[in-house]
Amino acid sequence: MSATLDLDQLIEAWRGPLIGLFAARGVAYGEAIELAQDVFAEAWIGRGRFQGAPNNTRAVGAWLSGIARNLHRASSRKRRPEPLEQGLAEQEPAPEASDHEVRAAELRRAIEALPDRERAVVQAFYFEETSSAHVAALLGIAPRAVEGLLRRARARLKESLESASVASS
Amino acid sequence: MTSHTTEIEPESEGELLSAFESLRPEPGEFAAGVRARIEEAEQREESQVARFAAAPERLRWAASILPPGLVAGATGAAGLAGKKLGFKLVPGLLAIPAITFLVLIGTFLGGVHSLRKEDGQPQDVEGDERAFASDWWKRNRKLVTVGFTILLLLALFQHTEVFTALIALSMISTVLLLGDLARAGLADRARVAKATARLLWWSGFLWFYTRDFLPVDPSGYPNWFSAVVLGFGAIGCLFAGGVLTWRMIGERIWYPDRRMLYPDAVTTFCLRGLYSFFALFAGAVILGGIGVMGLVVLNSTESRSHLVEFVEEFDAPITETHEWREFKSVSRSLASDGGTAPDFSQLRERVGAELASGAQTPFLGSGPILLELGVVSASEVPGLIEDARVHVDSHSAYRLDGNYLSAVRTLFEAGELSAEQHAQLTEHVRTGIAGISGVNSLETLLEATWVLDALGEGELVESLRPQVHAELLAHWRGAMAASHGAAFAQNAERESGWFTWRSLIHLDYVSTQQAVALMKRYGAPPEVDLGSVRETLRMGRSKGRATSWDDYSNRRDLLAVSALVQLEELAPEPVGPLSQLFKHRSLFGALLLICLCLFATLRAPKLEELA
Repeated sequence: MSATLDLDQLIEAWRGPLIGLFAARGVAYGEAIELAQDVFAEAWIGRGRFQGAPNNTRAVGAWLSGIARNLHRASSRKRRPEPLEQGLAEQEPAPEASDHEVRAAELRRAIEALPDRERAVVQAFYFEETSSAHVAALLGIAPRAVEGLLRRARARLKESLESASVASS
Repeated sequence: MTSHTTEIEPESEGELLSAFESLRPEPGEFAAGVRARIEEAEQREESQVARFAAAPERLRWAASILPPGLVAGATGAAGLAGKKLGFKLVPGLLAIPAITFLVLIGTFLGGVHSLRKEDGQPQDVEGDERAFASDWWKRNRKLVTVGFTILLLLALFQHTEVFTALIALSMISTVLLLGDLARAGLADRARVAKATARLLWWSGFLWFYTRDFLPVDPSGYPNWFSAVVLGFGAIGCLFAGGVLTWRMIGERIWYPDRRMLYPDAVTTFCLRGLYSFFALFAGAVILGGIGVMGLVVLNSTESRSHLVEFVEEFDAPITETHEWREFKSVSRSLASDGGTAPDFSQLRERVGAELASGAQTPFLGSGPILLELGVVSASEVPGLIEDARVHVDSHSAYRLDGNYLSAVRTLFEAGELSAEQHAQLTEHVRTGIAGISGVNSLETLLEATWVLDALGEGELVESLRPQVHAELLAHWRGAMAASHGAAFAQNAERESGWFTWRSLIHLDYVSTQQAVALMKRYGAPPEVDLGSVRETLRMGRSKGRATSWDDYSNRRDLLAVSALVQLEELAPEPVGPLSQLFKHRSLFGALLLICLCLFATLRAPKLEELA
């Protein structure tokens, strides 16, 4: 990122992790996208109050995370909480979906079943291709911790999908 | 149909990335959505700037000087400092005590900080509002500081009525100012609701913890009741502004899936440092509505029959002194009011049994009143008569006091008072009455009155009127300390502000009952507010109907009833809407303020109407 804040660069670098973060907090993906847009707008309007260096990932991440937290809190007051099952149902593929889409849905379901921290890391990291530094900055943990959580999450996903495969056969 | 079971293991990064492929937004559309939001916010701010610039100077000042977070953001055009501030500053200056006094404290405890942590709304006022406020403060800080200092000094060293009245006026003008800001489009409903709720909450909070320093309200309710009502009003404003909803409360304190209270709800409520005072007040607000229901049912037994019943059932041993002193006050008032005399057969039987067992009845305690009431005869208490005679003969030259007068009364009731002792008494009273002051002076004067009346010295009794009135005023507390109300105290002290409050002797109902008995005989001085005395006595009855003489608070209750019955004979309570309004003025004041706040809140436009 450049020495001054650039909106397009900001969006490009943090869009995926932010949406994934909201989704990990139980927000439906459609609304997560809206909330992420609100975060960027809010951040841009109040960029004069950002006190860190624009190329400091940790500082920017913490700043965006704070805005995201406030918006999520305000948003959750206004909407009725959506049961997890309903959210998952929206991700179910249509009957005519391809194998790829079906597999993707299975994988997302398995991700939803992960423990909270692992799920948050996976959704923030894999929603769009990003770095562990960005995810770490949003979650307020060390990049190494992100990598460790990712490793555990992948192992757990592998195990759960293998179990599901054995059960269905 | 393709089987939906999978045999693929998520071994590659690519597989995980592709799991979200269908959910990703189109980058260009996403960025466009962000820019649209930015543009909308900038347009909203521009309209805010325009409204701010177009607003009257008074409102621009208010928007700048009122707590951050009230106004929905305004930057832009400069040059807003007024020239001829003059009379337009009057409401502003009046508003300052309420804001400064309440918000400084509120700010310190995190009120403004919480306002700044808004619901994802744009952060607050920069630019012109700050410049305007800064410029105004530079020009007026001395005047404001002096004014506020005078206000504090008034409260600390003088009557607090002026302070309370100014604060109340200030709060009303502040609420009106908030309403004007909203109508000018400079504040939306939710923000007005938060501001009014803070005003009400903090005023109730401060009232709750400083009620002992504020003027007493003769309503008969505990003084914290109005504070609790203000707390409820604050909650009502939050609901009216849509800031608080039942669902929100539920989400904050209840885990529906776990079926348990949110742990932080308990700790937040009870344990957080400075906020514990806040939590206590919050608890009072919640429980106050329940507790006050019981207190409203008080004062149902202000009747003579209530006094008669307990006098007849009086069971203190004759060797006690303190309880008999109070029994004497109550039974004498019953004997003198012309009503049906109590039946003392039960008392006579019990006392007879005690005397037969060898117990002695002292003239400083039960003796004189037992003789007065005819419960015992002189022949049954020879020891009492002898002790009284010795005391009268040895103390006729001493300072006139209640013990001497009790001894004289004992001899008189026993038919043993000689003409010489009678003459000594009248001379003693004539020469010694002027020296009666200070502790127990009311009791001494009352005793002297009883004795002289019994001896037929009516003219001498009438000559005591100036002295009696002077002592009544010396012991009169007025509407001084809220928790003690308007009544009489043992020691004569001057009224003053907060700093000397703690030096006052605790007001007591014995002195008040004695004072009422004296006023019934000699008339009330004009300075004594009998209505306030009446309501203070009622407040003292908050424990409800007494059932036993053993407990001090129960005896106090009976003294209060005795005084109330006599007060009703002295000055019947006026009945009418205005008297009732005055009686409940604190409560009505609190309700008026709440209504103003609700009105200002509901008239304010919603945020979406401002855009």
